[in-house]
Amino acid sequence: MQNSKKNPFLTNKSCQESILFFILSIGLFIYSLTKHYGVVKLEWKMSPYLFPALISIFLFFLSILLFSDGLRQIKEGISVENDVKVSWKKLISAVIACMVYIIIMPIITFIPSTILFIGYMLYLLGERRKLFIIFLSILVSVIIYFLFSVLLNVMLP
Amino acid sequence: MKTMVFNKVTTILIMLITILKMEDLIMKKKLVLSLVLVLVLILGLTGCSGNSSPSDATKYPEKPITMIIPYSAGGTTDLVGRQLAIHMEKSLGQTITVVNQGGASGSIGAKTVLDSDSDGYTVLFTAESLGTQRTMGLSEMSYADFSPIIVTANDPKVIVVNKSSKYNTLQELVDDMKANPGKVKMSYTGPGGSGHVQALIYNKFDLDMAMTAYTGGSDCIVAVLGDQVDFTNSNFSTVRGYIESGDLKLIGVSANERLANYPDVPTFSEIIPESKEYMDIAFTPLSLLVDKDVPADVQKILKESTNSAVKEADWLDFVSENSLDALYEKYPDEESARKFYSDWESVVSWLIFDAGAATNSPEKFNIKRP
Amino acid sequence: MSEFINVFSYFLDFRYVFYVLIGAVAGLFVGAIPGLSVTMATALLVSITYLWSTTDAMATIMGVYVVGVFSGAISSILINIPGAPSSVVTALDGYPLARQGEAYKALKYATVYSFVGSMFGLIVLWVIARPITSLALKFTPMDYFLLAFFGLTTVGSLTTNNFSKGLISAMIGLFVSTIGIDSVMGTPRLTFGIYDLQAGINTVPALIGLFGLSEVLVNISDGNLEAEVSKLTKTVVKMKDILKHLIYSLYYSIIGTFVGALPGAGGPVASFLAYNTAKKIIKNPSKPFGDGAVEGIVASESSNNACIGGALIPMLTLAVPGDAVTAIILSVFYVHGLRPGPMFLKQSPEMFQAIIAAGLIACVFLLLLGLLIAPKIGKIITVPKRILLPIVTVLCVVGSFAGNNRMFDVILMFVFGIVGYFMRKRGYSVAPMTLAIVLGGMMDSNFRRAISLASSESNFISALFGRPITIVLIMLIIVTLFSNIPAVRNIISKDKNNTLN
Repeated sequence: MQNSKKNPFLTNKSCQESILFFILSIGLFIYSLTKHYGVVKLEWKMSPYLFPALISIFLFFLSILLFSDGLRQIKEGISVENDVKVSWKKLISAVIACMVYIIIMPIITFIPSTILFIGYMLYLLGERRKLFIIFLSILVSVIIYFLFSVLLNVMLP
Repeated sequence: MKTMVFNKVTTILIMLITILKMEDLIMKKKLVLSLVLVLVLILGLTGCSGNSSPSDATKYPEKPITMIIPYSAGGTTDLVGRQLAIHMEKSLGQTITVVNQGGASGSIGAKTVLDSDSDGYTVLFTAESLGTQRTMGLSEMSYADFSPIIVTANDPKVIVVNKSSKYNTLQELVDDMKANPGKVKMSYTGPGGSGHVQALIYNKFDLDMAMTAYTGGSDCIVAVLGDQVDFTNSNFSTVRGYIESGDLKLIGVSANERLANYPDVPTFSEIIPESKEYMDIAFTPLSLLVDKDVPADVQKILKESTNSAVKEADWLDFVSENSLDALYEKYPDEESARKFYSDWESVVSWLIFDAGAATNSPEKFNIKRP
Repeated sequence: MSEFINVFSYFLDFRYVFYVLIGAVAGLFVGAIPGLSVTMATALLVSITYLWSTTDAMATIMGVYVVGVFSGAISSILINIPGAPSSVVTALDGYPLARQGEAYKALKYATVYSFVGSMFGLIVLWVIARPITSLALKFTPMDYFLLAFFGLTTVGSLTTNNFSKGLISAMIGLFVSTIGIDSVMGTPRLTFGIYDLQAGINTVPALIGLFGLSEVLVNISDGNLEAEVSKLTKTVVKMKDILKHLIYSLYYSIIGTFVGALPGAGGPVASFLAYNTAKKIIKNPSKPFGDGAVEGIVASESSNNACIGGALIPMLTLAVPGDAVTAIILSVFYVHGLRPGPMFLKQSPEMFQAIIAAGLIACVFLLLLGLLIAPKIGKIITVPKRILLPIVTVLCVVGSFAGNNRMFDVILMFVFGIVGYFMRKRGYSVAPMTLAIVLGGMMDSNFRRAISLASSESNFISALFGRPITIVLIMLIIVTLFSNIPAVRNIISKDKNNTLN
């Protein structure tokens, strides 16, 4: 009995999110207050923490509003579920590839890292023509490099 | 310069052709043709960029220089900085890109210069606030973190009010401030800036006003134009146009001597004679600085360039038109410039501290009492 | 009359027209590539054109400016990555329309109405620059704060079905914008000891991450990568249909020009306000707003392009730039020894006419280039996703790096990409957050300025809220907020039903 009563709050997305924002607003409010009274010796009117405090108050009310939305959904028995299946494997590989790309770019310079990255991403996303992958990744890297560094004076690593 | 532009134009054309052909390449799989195109592209591009060579200090400057102005566009620092940049470009043979990075009494822009590579390609053109940052507790930066290239000019501080203002003379303004302490509103560029220093001097003579910080001199003027505040302490070059057009009334000069162009406008020390000793301060010394770690030969090249810049006829016209005080004549070399900074720092820091407006005591940073 | 002839004499000056064309082509490409902003392009041009004559330099720069602001719409429509914050709104309807295979139609509408907006703004600049200036000066810091706040509330109500979710997205954006050294007192806030955060969170990496990278991630996680982004149907869009919206467009242009004239507000606010208005005044859009209504594109594009003329007004008459691009144009003036300010229109009328002429010529090129190139560029979306997505990712990385040459910005972009992904998956629109990040700093400093100004008055509340513009803005905000609270909404719709019955 207790289980089924507790569940809706935790599974309802709006409720979950509202709790997250609730915590964030309280945190921001406490941060602003402690910083204001602790660090700067200024009146509130000039304090850098006036605005964050204001945001936290707004966020507080909004999280309550969101929570009430969630309650209404539970009451009316609406379930907001995403039907789209998430292909986690591809997503996580892509995210990791991005991370690796960002990390190695300053080390092995722009063009090689970009060739590797585009090559891998093309393969990950289902391209199987090898010659095409090599060709496209080199072409794109070179074009982007020259577009930015020669034309626009952007010092790419 | 011309070849650079030419190279860019060629590259643009090559890029255009390639981008337009891209679609054919991808869609129609004409591999041979596309490989030829790539080859042409790479050849063309390497041809265009063949002018890059390993960098060393003697070849400085090889690429455009960024001049950071830590105040918003249109204020005096911006105006003088840009003017100097134009004349420096001539002798450096490279462009100087001016970037305005306003906020927090000029500390944000100054920090950017310190954070960037100390290769002399990022220079700072700033007003006085570096001398007060530490005392004000704004940042840990001071003039000691930079090397002076040139101390250009002091822009006279003037007191202006809206054209429809009830004040017509400085005396009326001063009287009203005395009668209604804390009620007369003034805009200024932030704690530690020249407007703030002046306000503190006013406070010494029982003149108390309500102050509101804006991001730069031009925003302070807009506040006066829009009747948000009653008056501001501005730099003469910033407001010259508005005085000519009649949008602002010039009612006083914060100095001991009247402006040559406006001999009828009284100075602050004429109204309050006791303020004479403070009105000698160069409130807005504008200088070009680089990170102190910039190689000495690069600094030397920059110095030579500024020295020839301030001899240009256009620059001299600019100085006299705006009633600027040419400080580089008084402080021509690095030693005298540093002496100027340390004197300035000590006078102003102690002034701020004694007024109770400072967070830290100047003693903490070994700044001696004047 | 002689002024009129002077301006149009530039149209016959082949050299002058050519300089505008160079700028226009550059603007088209730069604006369309996410991460390359018009601001950057203009800054670069300044360094190239400093030896040219003033009029030639102005011609090129106006070309970049006018066409660059428009071409931000191209990437918004085709790949849902706005080229600049002011094109965010265009993506709301443009991208859905493109996905339905009508990218060509969306681009054509964007082109025509960017043209209308730009022309309108420039004509206003030409004819009534002075009165607009004095009106803009009446805006106090409180009004700026409220205007930005109003912008945020309208976005909140526009972009998601759930109003509180939209506003939460905006609040998170404001929270993000307060990170870094505060612009009034110089105190570092919310940096958590991370040194790189002190300079604050840059708008460009945030924008690219929230829109660009998160779009890529959403696409990857949804699968079906074999598909093309969309099919392109070759439908003929009749000029007659397009011009139906002209009257409304002029109305949005008025909004755009005026908001543009307020320093600091600019394109993003203008386009959101215009979009909000469009939603209110147009009862029967061709498709629901947010699903590809051309009315939305019309509103966004007319207003953000009308901002150009507007932003030039305070730049020329007060030497206070209305946005980042005009700040750079201001420097071009100084470089060439001109002094914008209250005397400018009187002292250098020929320069003023040259600017107007360059702007008008650029408008013509905008129309030509847009109509010629739109169908060509439109084909991008027929490229399969599995090829497009990696390239877009690299562009995101390079684009976020390009602004400040900082690797840290790339990391920020990546973080925002992940945040954006989860926001989208949970039904939070990223548009309010983006707008909030853009406007946060200005709201913060103006709010404090307003409090500071009012605190010396004897009656604090009346000083803060007493001015007429302030009252109007507050009323607008209250109406927007309350009309979107579910309970109130129900009452209103019930009332309507009752009266109908």
